[in-house]
Amino acid sequence: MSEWVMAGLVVWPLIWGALTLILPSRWVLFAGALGALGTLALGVWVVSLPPQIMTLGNWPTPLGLSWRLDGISQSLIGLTAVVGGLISVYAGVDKSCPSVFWGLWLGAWGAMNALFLTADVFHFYVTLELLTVSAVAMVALTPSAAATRAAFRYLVVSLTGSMFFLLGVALLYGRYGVLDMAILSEQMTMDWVSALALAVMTIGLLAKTAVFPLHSWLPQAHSEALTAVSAILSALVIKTAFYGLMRLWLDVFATLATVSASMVLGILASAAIFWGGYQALTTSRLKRLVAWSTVAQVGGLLLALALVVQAQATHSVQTASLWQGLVWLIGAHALAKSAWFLAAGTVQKRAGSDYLTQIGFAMQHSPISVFAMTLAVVSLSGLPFTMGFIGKWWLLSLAWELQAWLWMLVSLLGSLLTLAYGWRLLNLSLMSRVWPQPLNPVSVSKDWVALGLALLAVIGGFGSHWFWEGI
Amino acid sequence: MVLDGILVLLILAMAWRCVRTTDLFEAIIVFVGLGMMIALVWTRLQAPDVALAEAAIGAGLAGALLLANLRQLPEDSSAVRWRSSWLWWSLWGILGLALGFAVVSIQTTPVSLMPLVQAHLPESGVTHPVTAVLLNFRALDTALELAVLLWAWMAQRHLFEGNFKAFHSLQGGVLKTTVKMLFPLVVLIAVYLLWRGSSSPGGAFQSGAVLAAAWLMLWLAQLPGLNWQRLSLKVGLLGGVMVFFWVGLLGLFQGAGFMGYPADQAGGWILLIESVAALSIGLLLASMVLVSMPNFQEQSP
Amino acid sequence: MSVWIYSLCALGLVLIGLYGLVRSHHGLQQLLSINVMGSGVFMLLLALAARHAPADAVPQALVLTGIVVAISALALGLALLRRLASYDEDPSHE
Repeated sequence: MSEWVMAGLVVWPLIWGALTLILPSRWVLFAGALGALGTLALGVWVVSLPPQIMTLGNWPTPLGLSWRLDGISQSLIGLTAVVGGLISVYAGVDKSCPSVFWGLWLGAWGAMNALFLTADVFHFYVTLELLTVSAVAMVALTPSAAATRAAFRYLVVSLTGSMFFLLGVALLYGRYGVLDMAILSEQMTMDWVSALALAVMTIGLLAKTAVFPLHSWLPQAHSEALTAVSAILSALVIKTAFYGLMRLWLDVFATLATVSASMVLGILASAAIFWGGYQALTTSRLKRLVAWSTVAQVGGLLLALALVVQAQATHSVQTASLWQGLVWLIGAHALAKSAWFLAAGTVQKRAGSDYLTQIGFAMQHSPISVFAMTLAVVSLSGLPFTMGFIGKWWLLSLAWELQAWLWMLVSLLGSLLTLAYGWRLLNLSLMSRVWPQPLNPVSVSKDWVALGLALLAVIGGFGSHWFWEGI
Repeated sequence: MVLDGILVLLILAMAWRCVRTTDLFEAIIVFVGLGMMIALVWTRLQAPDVALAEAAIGAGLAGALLLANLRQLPEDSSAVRWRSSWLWWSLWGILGLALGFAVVSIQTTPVSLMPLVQAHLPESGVTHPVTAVLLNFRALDTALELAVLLWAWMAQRHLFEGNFKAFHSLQGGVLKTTVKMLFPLVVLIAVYLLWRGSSSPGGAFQSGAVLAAAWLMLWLAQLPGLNWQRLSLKVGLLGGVMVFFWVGLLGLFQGAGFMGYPADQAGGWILLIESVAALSIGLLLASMVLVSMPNFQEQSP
Repeated sequence: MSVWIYSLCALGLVLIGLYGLVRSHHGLQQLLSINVMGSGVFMLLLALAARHAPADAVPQALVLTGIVVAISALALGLALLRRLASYDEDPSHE
């Protein structure tokens, strides 16, 4: 049974996505909804399956491909299912979403599922490419020159990152003669070729995760895209590249992941946190603020990864709860960021403008969305009692155990920055002197979807010890 | 040995010219030439399958695609100029040195998966190892790669402007007659490549590329070719991905694992998948080029 | 012996492609540079495959996959450039 569920995770969205090509436009929404619903159900189902390895075609592992279902992949598939499902609801209600969105989104979703399942480095590259093509095309859905330019830049950066990753795969195959992640991690030795492979693959994935200094494509791409697309990109697509980094540093190249290597990650992460926060504080546009926040938050995730690498390298912390913390942080960010983007998009639609100076009135008349944004900001800053708080607590206690004072400080400052630019935005809804403006009618259900995601970001923390004690 | 040295120098020189020139037309021509040289290198490296694919897709089709698009792009464009500094150049140099060092040290570790491939080749249903790897051992790779092609087309389709300008006739009767004679021959070559793919270099991708060339020839000669509005054509585009996954699920149903085949039926299923895939690949590649043409009309004239 | 030469040639292509990416004057040339880089990586894979006799089939299959992915990405990039050109020449088209 579990094999059918896992196969369905990839096949169901791809088949329905492909079908949207030939269906007449009235039926595309139906096909898209069916595809989304099925993938959501399968994604949630997979969380309850026991951890296992499934060999495709029954071929023994080094020869064939294998799918690995463990805590990390199950959690991320489930997270993608929930967040993706809710974003699909938003997109279904959104009139400005063209029908080709559904084909592209289902393709991206199927690619993400396949990405989380795979235990083969070259297959990871192929799923990454399918995701890139779909994501770039989704950015280009917006009918504006700025969006198309952003999409092209995204494509160029993404392809270059993929090339670097593939170069690493070539080096790994040349050195070890296998492509399977489990076998590679067993055979990994500390030599120049492996170190270079790690470096090159990391650079490629860092470019795709938009970590400083390779981040400049993200603010444009995520802010120019349609609202649902921005949410998908910031909450989910970015995380796939980060997941790749996790697998590389904690699994495949674990032998090479030294404390000094984690320092490099930590420095880049800190730069991302401060630069992203600074830009979010000073930008004049709404969606760009949220996009810069993603740059900063991704820096936070990378910082957590650096700490976990350090913990694994020094064996000073019991390694059981390490990956759970990372996945938790990913989940908290995905929920909060998607809520924030959806709410911001709704407000922007109402106001008819993206500039912070012009949305005050719309914000005051979108109480549900503003509440969703507030919850999102609270969670992202790590204030109690949200998922973000639990994640931040885990991060800070890990840093304390490792005596990594510098990273602790960076993380705390990052929280302060998040609060600062979050407050900057929310303040607009509290201003007393705002000129009334004509508002575009926007369906209230959009506000509710955003609120739903934000509530999950808050209450997701309650009763979650089953997650932390190991599935 | 000397041939290799000359080839390498030629390739590096052409690559350098391609990225350095400011004339786009020249860059494209050099790129196509580079692709041809690289196809030669693939034959030198005992990779005839890849050589076929590189020549047909990497040089030929890419060239057609690039030239078709070139006319519609302005000279200067919205390319992002990246800031280059001494920091960047030193990193570039370090990367080069590190890669050189790594490549040199890899030569001493000749490990590979080939022994495993050869051991399981009899059960795979085909006798050509590359086809076995592509369509059997690592079938999901190929299925997703077909999906990448389909989704890229989906994206292109949406971006297609739909210029319904009048046709400019290219040639008179000579082209038409020649194409009428050539078309069945080219299709025959495609079928031959597909059929032989199970035991010698060939297969769905090469066959699909040749099919694409055949359809493009028809269009160039303004012969009635494909009517892109017809449902059967659109289904043909999806066919490769669909059939691949359905057979994959069937394999799961029959107990051979997802994307696997029962050992005695493997050859038949692989041929089916390859045939449908070749058709899809041909349609997708042809339509990618046609959609780029400035005078392309949706309905057949 | 020829494997050595081609491995180094592969490196050269990767470096030239990377250089071209940064110094290109046009989006189309950036796409070409990325493809040059791709050819370099493919050459490395095939050179590694040619160390054995008969040649290793797995990298050859990987490169075949890579070629198709590369052309898909090229087609998408060109479509984006074309769309961008149509916006630039006719701003009211937006």
